[in-house]
Amino acid sequence: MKLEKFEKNKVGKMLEYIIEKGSDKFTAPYNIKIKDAGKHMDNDYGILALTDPSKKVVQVISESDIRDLLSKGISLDPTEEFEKTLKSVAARVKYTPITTDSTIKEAIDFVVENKVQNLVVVDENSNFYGVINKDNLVKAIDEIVD
Amino acid sequence: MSFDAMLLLSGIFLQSTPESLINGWLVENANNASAIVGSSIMGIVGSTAYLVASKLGFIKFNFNKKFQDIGYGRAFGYSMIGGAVATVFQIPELPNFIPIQSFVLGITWPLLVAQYTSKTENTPEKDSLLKRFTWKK
Repeated sequence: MKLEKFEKNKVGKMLEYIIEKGSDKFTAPYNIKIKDAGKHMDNDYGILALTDPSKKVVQVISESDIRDLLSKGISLDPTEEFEKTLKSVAARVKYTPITTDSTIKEAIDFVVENKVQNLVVVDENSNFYGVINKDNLVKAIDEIVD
Repeated sequence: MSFDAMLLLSGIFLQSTPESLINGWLVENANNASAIVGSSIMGIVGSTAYLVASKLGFIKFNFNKKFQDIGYGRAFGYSMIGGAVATVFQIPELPNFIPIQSFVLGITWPLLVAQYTSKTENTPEKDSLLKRFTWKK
């Protein structure tokens, strides 16, 4: 398939087979505390989509964000700082929803420009849909594009 | 020529009338023709079976999205080529017909093509895109 045609396809259609599903693994309420983030982030991708009460994704936090937080000197003791919600963590990447209806070009540009290892995909209602791993995306491009 | 040899030859000519010779030729070539048609059909069946298995997701290896997204026209072409390849390999075996060989050739034909296409050089646009994904963590 030509690259131009590939890039115009919808993420939810052409890349469906590489999207890792499972909202239980990848989502957590946005008011989750930093100290509880670890066990929620214990998935193969090291990424967590924070959702509001209506289950809409409002922020995406990765392991590197937590590492950055710890490197700034936050204590692992249950201090007041550690009791802060995960939502207050300044994520390295500003959350920009990539939906199942977004084009593959938009998804690629987001991954490349923000240098993220995993891309959270939401549905048309901004609810969590799945995660695309960068390596799987590269493999898919290599396989599909001529 | 001895008398015995003459007797043998006359016997052959007496048994082999022109009609029986033509019939024999037709039977032999009918067998060849049926073997060719049979191998072609088995090759098409093998290719079609592979494509259907890919389409339905039974074959998941190698991210074979190309086969899952193949259109009806290309699928038809694939099956026809599978039949043709099976026929080519059947010809040396004539008049014997080996359906299993034809079927397996029909299946392995798309695999051979996939291996070939995966070794073809990327376009500069694709190389450029893939390079964009390399960065230091």
